[in-house]
Amino acid sequence: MLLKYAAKELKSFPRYTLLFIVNIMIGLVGLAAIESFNSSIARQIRASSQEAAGGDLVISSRLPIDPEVRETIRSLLEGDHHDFGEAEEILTMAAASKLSRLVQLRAQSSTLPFYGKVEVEPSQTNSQLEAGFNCWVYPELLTQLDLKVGDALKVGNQSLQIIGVVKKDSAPQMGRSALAPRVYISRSTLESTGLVQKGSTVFYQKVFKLSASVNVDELAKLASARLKDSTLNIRSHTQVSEASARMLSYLNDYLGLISLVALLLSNIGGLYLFRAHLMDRLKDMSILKMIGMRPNRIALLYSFEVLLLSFAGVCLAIVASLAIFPIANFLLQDFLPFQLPTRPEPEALLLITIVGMVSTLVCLLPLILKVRKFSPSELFQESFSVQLRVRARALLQWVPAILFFFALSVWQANSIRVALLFLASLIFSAAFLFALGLLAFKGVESRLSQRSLEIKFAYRELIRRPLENLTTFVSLAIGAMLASLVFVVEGSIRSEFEVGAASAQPSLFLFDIQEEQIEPLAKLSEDLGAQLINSSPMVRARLTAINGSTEFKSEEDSSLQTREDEQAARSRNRTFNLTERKQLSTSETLLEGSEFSGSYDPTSNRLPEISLEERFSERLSLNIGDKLTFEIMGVELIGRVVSIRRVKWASFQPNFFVQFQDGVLTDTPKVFLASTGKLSSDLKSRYQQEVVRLFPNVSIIDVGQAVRELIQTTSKMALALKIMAFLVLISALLVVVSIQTYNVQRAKQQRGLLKLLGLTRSRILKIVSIQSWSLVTLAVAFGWLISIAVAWPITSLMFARAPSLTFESLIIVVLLLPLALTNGLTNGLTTALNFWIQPRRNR
Amino acid sequence: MSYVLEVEDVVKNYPQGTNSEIEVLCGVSFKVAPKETVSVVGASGGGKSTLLSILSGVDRPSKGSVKILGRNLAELSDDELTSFRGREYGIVFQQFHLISHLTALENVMLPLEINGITDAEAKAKEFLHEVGLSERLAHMPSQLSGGETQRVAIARALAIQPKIILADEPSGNLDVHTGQKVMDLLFALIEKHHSTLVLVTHNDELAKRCQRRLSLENGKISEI
Repeated sequence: MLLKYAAKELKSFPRYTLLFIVNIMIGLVGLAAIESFNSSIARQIRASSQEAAGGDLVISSRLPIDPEVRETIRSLLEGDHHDFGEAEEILTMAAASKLSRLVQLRAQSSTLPFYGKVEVEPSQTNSQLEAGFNCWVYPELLTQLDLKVGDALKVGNQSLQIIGVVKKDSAPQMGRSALAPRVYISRSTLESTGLVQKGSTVFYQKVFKLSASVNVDELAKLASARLKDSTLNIRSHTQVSEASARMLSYLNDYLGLISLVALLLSNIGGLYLFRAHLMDRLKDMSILKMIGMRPNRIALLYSFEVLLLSFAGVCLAIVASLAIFPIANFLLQDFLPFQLPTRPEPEALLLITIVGMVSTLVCLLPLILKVRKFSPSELFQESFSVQLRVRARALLQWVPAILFFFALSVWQANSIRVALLFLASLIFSAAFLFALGLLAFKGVESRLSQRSLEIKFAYRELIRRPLENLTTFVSLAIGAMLASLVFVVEGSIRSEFEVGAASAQPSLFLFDIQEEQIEPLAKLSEDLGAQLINSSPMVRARLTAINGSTEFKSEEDSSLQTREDEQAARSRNRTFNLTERKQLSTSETLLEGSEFSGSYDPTSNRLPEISLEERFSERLSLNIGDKLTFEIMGVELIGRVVSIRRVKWASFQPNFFVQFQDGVLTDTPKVFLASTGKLSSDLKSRYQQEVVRLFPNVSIIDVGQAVRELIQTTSKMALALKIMAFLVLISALLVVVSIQTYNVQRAKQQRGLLKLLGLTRSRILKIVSIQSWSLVTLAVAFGWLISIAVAWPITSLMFARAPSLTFESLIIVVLLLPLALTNGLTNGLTTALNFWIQPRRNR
Repeated sequence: MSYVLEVEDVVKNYPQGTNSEIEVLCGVSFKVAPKETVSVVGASGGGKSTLLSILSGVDRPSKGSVKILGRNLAELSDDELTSFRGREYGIVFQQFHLISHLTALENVMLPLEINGITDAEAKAKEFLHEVGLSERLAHMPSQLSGGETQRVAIARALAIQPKIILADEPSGNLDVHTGQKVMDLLFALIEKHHSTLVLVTHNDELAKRCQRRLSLENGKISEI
């Protein structure tokens, strides 16, 4: 009976029902998108990790791999079908007529890669590569060696003909060779080069393609346990592409959080709509109570209504997702950092069904509980004027909603710390905006006496109904703030890298420099008019103990890890590049502790001093005075933390998480990193050629190129964030419409009275318009200003500088102000329509 | 003798300002026997609405007691009182107070459904037939005239066959002719269903149609 009544009531109020459902829908579409992206990303990571690995399981070694290994895998597969391929890679010098360069030579079976492909220009297949002593080369090699397609390239004993340029390679390069351009040849050609012989550094690979039912991670573990060969590196495709998966997961976490803001705002909108509806229905509720319906049953009746509405909202969100996803996929595919799904994932739909219904119910719970508490005695009065107010002392009733959103935040961010920070920032921003709005209103109030009647009336109504009006203001301001924030932060990142790259940043970054090459390289640099700076020694080390404790949590300990757990586990398990330094570089700032006391004296009893990067120390909860044990090439090295420092990573200077004081690594075999100062384009090219010619083992990164790639990736990520932020803004606008509906309902009688007192319709419309425009314009302006304030600590933390107010960062204001006017107009019209229709109804 | 309604020394105070109170009912006492029709007359502001609120259990007296069918309303919880009212009371309002989005039939069915009566629809139709609205079952309240609306309200009040009917100025919002017809119908149905009526009105002519008349002036009640 209750359900039937609830359905009838909703059917009788189509405007309320529709607005409520649309509200829920907008809040859920973003979440559906994020959850679908999440599943899709997981699938893409699986696919891209397969592409990256070239297969499902990769066994690599620096020694020839025993054919028995394949037999072992075959036996572990227990008869499951698999495909198999082999590859060899070798780091060697490639020479043109005058120049030579370190290259990564790769020879692979014609079946490889099993996933992904090597795209070559002009378009070719493996058979053309195998037709003679041919090769495909990476484009940068052509530049570095001044070659073109058709030219000869000498590798080992063989002269190869360049028949194609690699445009896209789905397989990443292995180890340090990742920084040398790749050259593809056939396996028979590799034999003819004479490079594979005893003592040469060859990477051997055996690649398996397995059926989809095989648990590859499990197989990799079993194979490692069965083979017990420390020279073999056995990895599943997911382990191969762990880093890129991590980046997308982080992006998805933050998108998820923004989608929660949209959900939260849609619930605020729903709250106001529901409140207006309940106010309208109080008489009905009184009648129901009067004729014997118990208060709890009335509360249950409205719970059913809310559930029906939220279910309809969920259904509409599903339909909208089905319609929007293919369009978004078509329009945005090339601009986003991940593959958009063409339809929502089933698990995403299940999630939004649960979240949509529960979030609506918990947010409206205080109002639902309130309907049990009113008295129907007004029915005996000549006019019915009961109000429904949620008192401050009923704050406990909001606890379920707060807890639910906190749980959702933790789930979306995969981090309790980020979730807390997110909710705290949101609450703080809302409170701050609320206070700011209140101050602005008060400020206006004191200047009203000389203004026109419309202005006075409009602002007095705004000021004296602070809750609804400030909620409108805060919701819109938060929407504007989020949208603007993405622009400001992206603009700052772009500006930091672009300006940096154009001025003080190094032009080239050099690594793999042998110790004895440092001096001649510096001399060469000086001779060419370039300066070799920041040369830093580097050794590989593994953290084995913290304050003597070796009990580290492994990444595989639990599948339910938060991001913090993952980061800490990675930090603990990771092998680091360490350095030693006399003092901090210009891109470092001391935060805690003291600078190094000087060079290390091995004869003293004191432990070597260590300086840690701030985020690294946070992840591992390390403090000044902690003792860290590292293993460097089988030798144990214990040091004591003396300082925590901040590193400006965007400086493109050689920087490290862990630094020892000067003199600690003196006897340790090491390589060096260095950078050059700013070089002109000509000098950069000449410098590269000379370094390649004289120091063929030294690899070079062009910082400008790296910055361009970084900005491209940042822009793609920012676009995803912008889309989500605009969804938040739409939710905020719906909150405005919802609150306006509530206000119109509430002010119906008052406006009728104004009309009776002689105020014309156009003057009443003017009052409403002044209110809407003032609120929206003020909210957008404050939202934009606060986005700058919020961006400040972000850009300070990332780049130690204030945010950049680029044109893009102003775009939100440019876009929103007309929207504000449109919105004001819409609200004005809504009010006018209500106002004009109302007297006729009364008749 | 057992009474349907026993009101004993009922006082109702409302706070006025921070330190003082206003006494709306000052020791009101009266009893109503089964099948009796009693009217309470008085000027506006005399405490009629407050008395109705207390009699219906919506409001509680500051002092004194109200017993309906021997049950002291003060001893019932809010939930119990609501259920009790749903079973034993029929209430007719001056403003009709129908649920605007339910049809005439659905409005009359509602108290029957709340009380879990199975053949609610048949009974509701029967009562609407009694008030002469068989042809108006599917009409919404907005499609009915004032007289018809009040007749639906009367049907709703009688549908559960309550022991006592409280009527608050039932013809107050109707023209004289329609009001007369509605009241004729109300009295006829009360007689037919052997109900007890407490009618609150300021219309002397209407009050005279009841077996007893009480006057409520300045919070004090007296027999006329």
